[in-house]
This record gives sequence, structure tokens and C-alpha cells, in this order.
Amino acid sequence: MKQGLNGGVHTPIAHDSAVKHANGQAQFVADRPLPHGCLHACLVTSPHAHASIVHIDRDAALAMPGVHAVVTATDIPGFNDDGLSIPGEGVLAEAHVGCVGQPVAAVAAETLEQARVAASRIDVQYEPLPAVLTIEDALEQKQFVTHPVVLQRGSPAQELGHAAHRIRGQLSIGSQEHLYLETQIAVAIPDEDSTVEIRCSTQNPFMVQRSAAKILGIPLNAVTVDVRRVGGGFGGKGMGAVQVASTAALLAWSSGRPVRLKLDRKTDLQVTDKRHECLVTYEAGFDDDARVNAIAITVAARCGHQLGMSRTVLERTIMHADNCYHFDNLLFRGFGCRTNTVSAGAMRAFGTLQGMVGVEAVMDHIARHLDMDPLTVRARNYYRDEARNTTPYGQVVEDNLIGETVAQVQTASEWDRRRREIDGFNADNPVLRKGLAMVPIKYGIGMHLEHLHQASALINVFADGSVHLNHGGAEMGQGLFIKMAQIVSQVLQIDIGHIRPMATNTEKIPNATPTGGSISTDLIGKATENAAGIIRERLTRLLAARFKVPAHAIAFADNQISVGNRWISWKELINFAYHARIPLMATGYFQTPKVHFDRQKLQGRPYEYFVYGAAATEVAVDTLTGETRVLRADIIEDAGHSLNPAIDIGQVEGGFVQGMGWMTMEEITWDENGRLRNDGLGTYLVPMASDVPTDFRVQLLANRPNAEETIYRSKGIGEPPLTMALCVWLAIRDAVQSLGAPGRVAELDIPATPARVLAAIEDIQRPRAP
Amino acid sequence: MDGAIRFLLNGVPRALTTVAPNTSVLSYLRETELLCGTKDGCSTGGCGACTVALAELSEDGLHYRSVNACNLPVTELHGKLLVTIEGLAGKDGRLHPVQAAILRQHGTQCGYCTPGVAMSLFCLNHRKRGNEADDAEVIRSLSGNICRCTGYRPLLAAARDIADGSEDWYLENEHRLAEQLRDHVGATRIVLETEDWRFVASRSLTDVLDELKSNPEATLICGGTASSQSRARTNGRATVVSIADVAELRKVETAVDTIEIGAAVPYEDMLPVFDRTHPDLAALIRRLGCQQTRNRGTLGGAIGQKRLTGDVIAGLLVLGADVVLRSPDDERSVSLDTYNDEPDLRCRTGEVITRIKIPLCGPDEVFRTYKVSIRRDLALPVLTSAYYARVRDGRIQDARIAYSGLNGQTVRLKAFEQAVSGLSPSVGLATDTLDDLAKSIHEYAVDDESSAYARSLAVNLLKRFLAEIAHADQPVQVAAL
Repeated sequence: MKQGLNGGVHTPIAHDSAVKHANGQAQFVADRPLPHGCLHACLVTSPHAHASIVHIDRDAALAMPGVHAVVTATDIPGFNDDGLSIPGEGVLAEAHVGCVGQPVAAVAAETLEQARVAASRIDVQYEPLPAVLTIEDALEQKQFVTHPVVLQRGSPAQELGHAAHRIRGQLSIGSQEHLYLETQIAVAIPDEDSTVEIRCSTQNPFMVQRSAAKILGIPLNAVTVDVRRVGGGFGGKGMGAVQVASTAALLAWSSGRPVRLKLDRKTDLQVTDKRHECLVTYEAGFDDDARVNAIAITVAARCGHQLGMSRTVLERTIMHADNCYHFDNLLFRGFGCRTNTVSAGAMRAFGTLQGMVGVEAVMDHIARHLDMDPLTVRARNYYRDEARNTTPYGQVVEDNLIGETVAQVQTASEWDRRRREIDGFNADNPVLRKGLAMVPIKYGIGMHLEHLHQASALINVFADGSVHLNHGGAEMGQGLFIKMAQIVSQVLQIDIGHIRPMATNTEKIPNATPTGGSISTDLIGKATENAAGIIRERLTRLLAARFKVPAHAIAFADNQISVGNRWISWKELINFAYHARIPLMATGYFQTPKVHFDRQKLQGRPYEYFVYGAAATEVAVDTLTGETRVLRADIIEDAGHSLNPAIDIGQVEGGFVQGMGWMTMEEITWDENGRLRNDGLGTYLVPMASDVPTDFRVQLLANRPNAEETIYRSKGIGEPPLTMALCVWLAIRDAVQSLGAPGRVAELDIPATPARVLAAIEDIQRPRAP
Repeated sequence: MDGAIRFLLNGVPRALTTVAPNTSVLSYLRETELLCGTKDGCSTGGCGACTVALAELSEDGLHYRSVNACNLPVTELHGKLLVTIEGLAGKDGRLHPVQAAILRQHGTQCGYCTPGVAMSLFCLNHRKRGNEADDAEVIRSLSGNICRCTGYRPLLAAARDIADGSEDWYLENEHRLAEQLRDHVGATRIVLETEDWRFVASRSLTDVLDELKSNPEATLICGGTASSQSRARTNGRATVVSIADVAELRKVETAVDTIEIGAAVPYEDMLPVFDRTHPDLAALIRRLGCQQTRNRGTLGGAIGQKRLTGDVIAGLLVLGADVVLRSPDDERSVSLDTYNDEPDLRCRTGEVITRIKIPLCGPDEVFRTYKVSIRRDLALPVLTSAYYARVRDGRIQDARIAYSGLNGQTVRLKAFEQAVSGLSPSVGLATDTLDDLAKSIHEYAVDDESSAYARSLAVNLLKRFLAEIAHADQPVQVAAL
């Protein structure tokens, strides 16, 4: 009797750990039993934004009870590497500190309390140096971590001068903290043959392995990194995880004992990287029909005190400053400002929204200036036919779904009717104003670093038919593990229950690409399909030989294998294959075709494809307090042919709300001494259940499989929805602008906190300064 | 007298004798019981990852409340049933209806917040006893749980998707659990003494007063969401008296013209009565902290603080509430307004706040409160304001206006009160009066950049008050949409 398959692709299967999440049995690093003799560690961090380290006296700390190790940069046997191998940017400060919170030393003791007390007894003498704390100051003092990133096409300066209309503006967009709920944690366990095992919460096990090996001066094969699951990553469990894991490894090396280092929330907020805060200026020239002749956008990013990931982030910013629009004449420039604040790093959709915000502000500004519908203004400037389909970095927009997606959101959101209703409401209500806005997105999927476009997978089939699935991607809630299991289930036509996703472990998969950039499913999915296909092919050959039938007479379907008119169960087949001495272990490999990019010239095809999407939101604004509320959001994202619609919808909803937080409440500021003001959950506020759009409608774009031959024609999903939250900010501006004179644009920085919204309301009602 | 903290952990009796009284329930669960399903997300009550259910005996069975384990001292477990995520599924491993609903709705991503979310929804489910919760109740029940992955939509859907409680082990066994709790707890009060601590969990006012007689410096804990037990370490050993379960302080009594709220009544338990008598006070309480805070926080705790800035102080103040205090030898009553103004009249060494008397409002009286914060839930107020007035013949009389957030205290704004006296709300205030009021705010407000927003809100909230009276037919707050 044939049963249907419980598994396979394009099905809304629950996350593989869902039951364990819900019953509390899913183990995070902190939940696993500690190794025998494990020490507890804590960090000593800089209280200065910028200072020379004159002297470190650790004697008193070492003499404290229970203390087994105190380490500083001088104790590093190898190279002080924070994961990117940039000289001078290690996990522990060397001659000087560049921000408050930079780790200077670390202590391991038998109890955490002992480690904390000992840490307070380490005497670090500093000689303070002048600090640069704002983007403006860095620009003025020409403090940069890298040379400018520039994209130019046509003659922007000249064409700006020729334009019928010309606008300019400036806005700032704040930083954002990942706020993964599980803070950074690692347990490092020294082992025989001068090796070390690191259990940690990271989305980049290979980088952790590389950093620890370099720091300890040992080969990569002497470091094992194990990651079962990550309690939220969002880009933050890369460099931050390296910081914690390599420090723990160094302490373990120094003490000869296992060491656990878990950052408390306050330390985590102070020490780890954040999103790039940016200052965006724009200038655009356009005709009476809202066609843009020329545009110039400059983004100055707060990169913090070290280069870190900033060049890559800045490139991505500049390469997304076009968003969905074609410009004959453009100048996009990115400046990487060096400030004495924590190094900015990778966070979900890094760089992209900071690029898009300028051009979207331009579109709304034009609409306001010409008193036109903002959707019409956008439509006039979309990427379209052959004359208008090449991005400034040379990639052709081949699979353009911009117009289609926007049209669907326009219909789904009942845009025209609601626009009228909102205008009516605004005319009537004595205190409240509503706003409506839509934003389309075009999001490049790819890391624009060619060597990262590869992946491996390893499938082991045991004699009873149960399967181990290994790959280099980390599961941090995004559903990568279940999607990979679905692929194996699809290829082998076996129930998902046969397949056990294994912890990500560098012993199984070497040199894995970081899990991020919305590309892991594309890469690892293909590698997994390849591995499963190899197993299937071996089994097919075996059956063909055994039953003397051609290979095409053998079919795998719904937990059964048909050989001519004979049916065999999966378990029977595997038992047979084992006894027939067929290898039941296979590695799969994949490298992305087509992707190439010249980083010097910023030209090529950096992205495998684009993801499209559009979101419309309606907000209400209290003109007396600046409080806002998102009343409704309609979102359509193009996920290609979704591997798992339930997982993908979850990514869109979660990403959008995370973006909403950035747009409205998540604020990072530093005081005049460079100290982070928002170093706790009382001062760093992220959306709660009551902040979610009252009416929240999310769909995946139907019937649009990926034009590229990705895994089952699906598309990357995780990051693009975050950028669509831009429309929340645009909608708030729309509401504020309803109070102003025609043509007047609201001055509203991001995040649009109630205080900023109220200030913008007061400003727009004042007569414009002459 | 008994030296053990006795409670049920997931239905199993526990008696702790050697634990330090300031040990958090989170540490106890994870380190002593090795129950690691309860997660540590911030250790400051700011994320809800450590949410557990704490049930106490009440007249109609067990009353379940969600609380944060990170800031709950183990001593508060005495006499209660503690349910953690490990205790939620049936003994056969079958998921609790709440867990099943989270699964059906794809409500987990990274999974770190899930145990806390499940516990919050479990408590909601118990409070509702099979009745469907409305959207506002669901959102409030999750007001202390951060989920950084899902955007909450599937969690809210899960809350509405919970099947009736028939598969709930705790409901099925409620009678037995209640009996077990009575049998196991036995002694009514506990005293726990270690080298550093003398901890008393009182059950009667007489007991509290006796304790204060011998230890006037004792720190009283009443809810304990805001303060830790680090204070009052005199003579080497700190005495801490928990009054959260003192029966006399847990009463809510309604008289002809007043309501009396016991100092140890958790905020959540005041809501049914305030919904009838002072809806704006209820609204303000629903904005206070989060569900977990409201389940433990008390008026005694808020008024007993050094700074009277709690969310509800301004509201009680303009209503003309009185604070009643007891010492071993005396009882006195003082208006909250005076109590707030005169530090000498505040709760003295050896005294305990017993109850708060709140006058009822008549038909011509208007009472409004507003809290503005950067985030709606679980956020400290930028500014809280409260307005009381009589409206007769369309004109405002006897206005009392108090603000909290301008200068770290709660203040009466006499200039505002005078400005609206005799005013017709539909006419509103003249521009120059508004300018004068804006200037008058500088008398109270700290004149720095960080309070600029609070200052600009001060006059605007007065405008809102007038607009609400003048435009009763239209929404004038975003929350009303």
C-alpha cells in the first residue's frame, strides 16, 4: 500500500526543533552540562573611548581565590585575530583602545563571582586620547576606515544643473542592535594533542575556528567548533561570537581547563558590533513628469573604531542606492567614518536599507514637490525595458517583478480607497493624523565575494534507513535545517522523520561559508540535493543491476522504490544496499554559476538574482505626543517557488517587525564620553506584541518560480522583508506632512521615535525660515 | 516557626532550607534543579525569556500568574505552586494545548523566547478558564515577552487557537494540587536565617508589626519587582520581611464613597474593581511594566519607594487618595498629595503601609490619565499625567493636575490647574496662556536636552485632556483606533 510522503519541498512543515522549543528541551549552549572542571570567565573592557594602554597590572587578580588565568593581548601565542585577519583588530586590545567596551583582558575562575571580583582588580592604566564620536566630526576630521566607495554613471553634476526641478535633503538613520535573545556564549574545552573544542552560538563556525586557530597558533585541524542551534543571530553571531569564543579558547589554553564565557546582557550590548548608523544626503534633478535626470546620494557610515566588515557593508549600501530605479546620471558615494565607538558590523540586510532610504526619500520628495501620487513617481523611474535595465554596477535586471509586485500590493491593500478615507479622516480629526505609504524593493541575493559562493553537505544513511544530514550552515531559527531535510526527503522520497539534522560541526564540513546574506538555502540546498542525489543514484544502479532493469525503470516515490512492477520499502532497500556493500555516505558540493565581481571597479554580476517585494502601511500619528501606531501592513514578497511557505512567511513577518523597530523605536546613542546610553533592555527598546500592525497581511508572490536555476526555483528570504519596513517611516512622514504647507517635506530622522515625530510636527507647522 | 521554603515544583513538593534568600528562582531552577528550559535573556525582567507560572491558593482554586524568574527571590515561592516549561506537557509527554497551538501556528523560530511565551499563554489560558481571550487580553498577556524572530503574529494567533483546557493536567488535577499545597506548606509563616540574612515571610499583619517592633530597620518587600534585597544590611545581618502574602494587606474593599486597596494587592487584582470605578486608573495600570510586573507589583511597593514616580502615583494623587500606615503602636492616614510633598510624613522606620483609600468619582467628575513612553508596553514613562476636575455647566472646576517625569518626582501643576479653572473645554486655552504654561514647566523640569521631549509633552497632554472632553465622539489617541 502506497502512503503519501510526509515531507518534500514546497510544503509548510514545522521547524525541525519546534516541539523541543515549545517543551523546553531544545538545548542552547548554556543549557548543556558543563564539562568537568569548567571555569567561568568574564571580560575587562575599556572605560575610555580612545586611549593608550600604559600598563596592565594583573598580579592582584591572579592572587585572588579561584582564579586560574588572566589573559591580555600579550598572552596570545599566535596572531590576535578577530575573524577577519586585519592587523591591529584582534579580540583583545594591544597598545591602545578605540572605544568604550573594547575588551582589554579576560579572567577565568572557578566561579563567575570570583571571576568578576578578579576582573575588577586588574589595574589597567590608560592615557586618554582625543576621541571622535560623531559621523559629522569624522567627516570634518577626515577620519575614515577605508577609501570612499563610488559608483558613477553619466554626468550627474552637469545634468543636475540642467534639470527642470531640483531637490536636496538630508536625513540620519540610526544604528540597530541585533538583540538576539540568547547573549553571546562559548565553552572552550582543551583536549589531547594540543587541540581545543569550542561549543558556541555562532552563525559562522568557520570564522570562529579560524580565529581560535590563529590566536592559539595551531592549525585549523586542531580546533573543532560545534553549533547545534543559535538563539537568534541576525548577523550578530559572527564577529561577536568570535570575540567570545576565541577569548574562551585563549583562557582554556592558558589555564588548561575548560572555560565558559557568557556575556551578560549589558556587556553584550556594550561589547558587540551593531548596525551602521548613517548620514544620508541626496540631490535629484527631474522633469515635470517626475522622471529623474540625475541623482546624487552620499552615505556616510559610522563604522566605529575598526574596519571590520565595513567595506563590504558600504559596498552593499552603494549597490542598493538605486533600489528599483534606473538613472542615466547618478553619483552614489559611501564614506566609512572612523569613530571611537564599537565597530559596526553585520546585521540582517546590512547596508541595504541605508542605501534605499536615500532614493525612497527622493521619490517621496518629488511627489510632494510636484503634488503627484508617490506611486506614479516611482513607476516612472522603475527599471524596465532594455534601455533601462542595467544597474550602476553592471548587472542586468533580468527577472524584473517590480511592477507586478507593486500592482498586487496596490490591489491587496485597497490602496486607492484607503488613500481617500485617510484624507477624509485627516480633515476631520482634531488630534490624530493618518499616513499611508508604499515601498517597493529589489534586493540582491549574494555576498559579492566570489569565494563564498560554495557549499558542501554530507549525508550518512544508517543500515536501518535513518539518515544524518550534515552541512556547514547554522540553524538560528530561520528554518535552514528543516528546508535542507525537506530537500533530502524530496530527493530520496522518504518521510522527513527519517532525517536527523545534525549540529553544525567543523569536523563534518570544512571551510563553510557563513550562514547569512539570505543565501544559505541556495548554496547548501544545492549541495544537499547533490549529496542526496548521489545516494539515490548509487541505490538506483544497485537495483538496476540486481533486477536487471534499466535505471529509468526505477522510481523513488513516497517511501517506496518501484522496480518495474515490484515495490521495495526504503528500509528494505537500505538494508539490502548495506549488505551489498554500497557506500551509504555521500558528500555533495555546489558552487554558484554566473556570479562574478570586480571589487576594484565595482562591476560585474555580484548577485545570483534579485528578490522583489512591496509593502504598504497605514499609520496613525498623535500630533500632540508624536506617538505612532501601525494600523495595517500589506506585504508581498517574492520567494520564488517557496520551499516551505510557513517558514518563509515567518521570515517576512519577523523581518518586517524587526525593521519596524529600527524605523520607530530602536535607538542607539553614545554620550559625550563615548559611552553607550542604551546598554539595557530598559533603554534599548524593540517591538513587543502591542507594536505589531493591528492588521498584518503577508503573502508570498504566487506563481513566480525563480528565473534562475536555484534549488527547486526558490529564492532567498531572510533579509529583504526587513528593508520593506522603510514604508513605516514613509507613512509616518506622510501623516506629518498632512499638517504642512503643500510641497513641504517633513524633516524626520530614523528611528522616528515619538520625540522626533513631535519635533517634526512642530517644525512643519512653523513658517519656513527664509 | 519553620525554616524551610515549601512549595510545589511542577506538582512535586520541595522544601528549601539552605538557600540564600536573595537567590533568584531562575538560578535555582537552572543551577540547583538543572531545569534549563527556563531561559536567561537579560536577568533584569526586561525580556520575559524566564517567565514561569506561580499559582497561589485562592477561594476559587489555584490562581496562576506569570512572573519573571530572574527577579523573583526563591523566598516568594513559599506556599505556592511553581510551574515551569518542563512541567507543562503531560506526564506522557503529550504537549499542553498551549504548546500545541504554538506549534500549529509556526510560532517558534530560534526558540529561545518560546518557553517564556508558552508560560505566559498558559497563565492566560488558566485565567480565562476556557473562555476565549480577546485581542487586548492576549496582547497584554505577552506584554513582557520579547520575541525577536517571529514578529509576534503567529504567537498572537496561537493564543487564539488554544483548544479548551480539557487536556490541561493542572486543571484536571487542581483539587488535588490545592490539597497537596495545603498539606505540604503547613506552617503559615517562615523564618529563614543564615549568616547574612534573616528572612521572614509574614502571613499576618500582627506578625509584621511584631517583626517591626524588634527590627524597625527591616526591609519590607511587597512584590519586589522594583527593588532588590540589597538594602538595610545593618549590624552585619539584613532582615527582610516579605509582606506580599499578608492576608490583611491583600484586601480590596468598596465602601459608599471610597475603595480601599490593600498595600500588597497585586496590580492585576485591582483591575476588575477599577474597570468599574476608575477606568482611567485601570488603563494606566495596564500600561505599567508588563503582565509579569503587574502580577507582582503593588501600591505598597510603589508608594514605599524613595521616589514617588511609579506609573500610578499621579493618578492616585489627583483623585485625592489617602495612604494608611501602621506602626506597632499607631495608625495614621495621610493624603498622598501631602505624603508626596512632605518627606517627613512618608513611611517611617518601623512603619508599614497597609492600604490606600481612593475616593469614587461622581457623575460630574472627570478623571483622566496619560502615559507617554517610547514603546507602549514594558517601557518607563517619559511622562505620566493625571487630571481630575468637575465639569459643571460645561466649565471646569476644582481641577487637580499632577505630572510625573518632569524632574524625577511627581508634582502638582498649580499653574495648569488655575489655567483651566472656569474654562470651557470646547473653547480651549488661548495661545498666550499656552505659552505661559509652557514657560511655567521650566520651574519643574530639569532643563536639559534629555527632558526636552517631556517638557514639550506637558502642555500638549493638557490639550489632549481638553480635546477628550470636547470631542467625546472622536478618537484622540492612537491607542483608540
